[in-house]
Amino acid sequence: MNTIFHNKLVAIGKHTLNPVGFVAYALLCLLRGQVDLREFIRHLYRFIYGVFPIVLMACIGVGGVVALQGLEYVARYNASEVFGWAAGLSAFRDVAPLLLSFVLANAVGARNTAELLAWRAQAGEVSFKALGIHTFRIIEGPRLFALTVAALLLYPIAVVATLVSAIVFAGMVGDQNVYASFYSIYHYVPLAILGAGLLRLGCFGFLIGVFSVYFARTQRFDPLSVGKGVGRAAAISTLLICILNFVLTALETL
Amino acid sequence: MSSLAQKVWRTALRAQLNPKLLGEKSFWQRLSQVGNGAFWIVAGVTFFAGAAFCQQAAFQAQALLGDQSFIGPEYIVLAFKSFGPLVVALALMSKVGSAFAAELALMRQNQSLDALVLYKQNPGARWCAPMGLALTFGAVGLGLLSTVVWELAGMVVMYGFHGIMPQSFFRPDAISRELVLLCCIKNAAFGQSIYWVSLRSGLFVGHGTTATGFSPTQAMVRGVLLILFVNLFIDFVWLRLGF
Repeated sequence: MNTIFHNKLVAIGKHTLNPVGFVAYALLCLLRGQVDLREFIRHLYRFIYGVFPIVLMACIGVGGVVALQGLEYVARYNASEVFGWAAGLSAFRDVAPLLLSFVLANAVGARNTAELLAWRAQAGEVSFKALGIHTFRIIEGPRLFALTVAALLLYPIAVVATLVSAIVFAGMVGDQNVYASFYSIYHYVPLAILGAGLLRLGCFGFLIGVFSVYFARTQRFDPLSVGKGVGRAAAISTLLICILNFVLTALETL
Repeated sequence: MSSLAQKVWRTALRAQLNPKLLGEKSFWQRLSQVGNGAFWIVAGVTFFAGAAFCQQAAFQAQALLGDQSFIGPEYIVLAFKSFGPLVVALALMSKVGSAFAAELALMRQNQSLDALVLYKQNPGARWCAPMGLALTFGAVGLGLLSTVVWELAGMVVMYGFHGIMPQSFFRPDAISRELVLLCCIKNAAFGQSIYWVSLRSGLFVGHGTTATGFSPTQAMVRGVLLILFVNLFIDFVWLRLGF
């Protein structure tokens, strides 16, 4: 019993302290300029270009969820003039950043882990080390920070797509006045909310980047482990995103 | 290769409706994989997502209306109607769907699937279809359990941040039979969506190690999108039905 408890404790310690150490190492490398700029830009382009249609489609879906949810409250409380405000809050800060980060964790984070594990499986890491190439600088670092910046750059597009989808959908399904909805956003939603949403998505992007690289570093790279590692990276990222989302909400509303 | 995948795909979908073809032991193993394997991640994701939603709603209600009494009945409805099933499905997709896609992709790569067909073991019915049923029933079970977790998160937040006692926050009278039915329908539909997407990504995988690694990624991306649109479709139909 004691051995099981001891092993669990060691495992928990290992899986919490190791990522913290990795974050510190990644930030130190960034401060020292040990992240290749050319690779960073290449991955930034790849991530944004690759995930753009998925994000757009996901935002249409999320917009629909926001619209149907909002319409119900509008009908119950007879408050159609605040629909835009509620949809704006959801799109800018609450629902959209959270669901968008789930999409990013599954689409970009998991892909990142799979690519890095495939690279390790093809002896890429060994050959890079044999040639004396700094693997974090060329391979891992640019991906990690490109993912964070990609999340930030996708935020305005995601917000606009979600909001337009929500308002158009509400107009089509619930006869909600489109102009009144846009006016409500303009009039009632403070700009600071946009900053809060951007900060959230930036934090979520960094978290996804850290765990996608961390799991690629620690996972075995036979085909089955690759599959499990990819899923585990996405699942742990999703859980940590929810925890971070709650912490940020608590800090904002205290 | 391709015709074999097509054959297994068709059998795996049809066999779910024919309990005689399914292996009972295999079904229970899969159900345990879905239930035990995903419970903690689903519970964790639901708890923290619910806690954040509750805190936002309570804060806005207090700031704008000075009244938080309506948060209890509205919040519990969200667990059954909208965000509860969605959050459960997304967590289940990451945890179980991707692993199933990886498992199938590996079986395709190392030709275990071919061997099972050669020995007339009917892998579509005995290997894949139990996962389909397990995901459907597992998603419904986890979805209903997660409503409890969701409500607990709300109680903790309301007591911890706003001093509202759990007994006054908990409003089971807001739940109707239709809501429970909607929750079950959504979770079952999401479970089937996860199964379809993982099955397809796993069976129709390309050649080589890299393709095996990419199969779960593809499953997750398609799964997330499918879940969002299935959710939208069910909500739309529900609204049109007038509930």
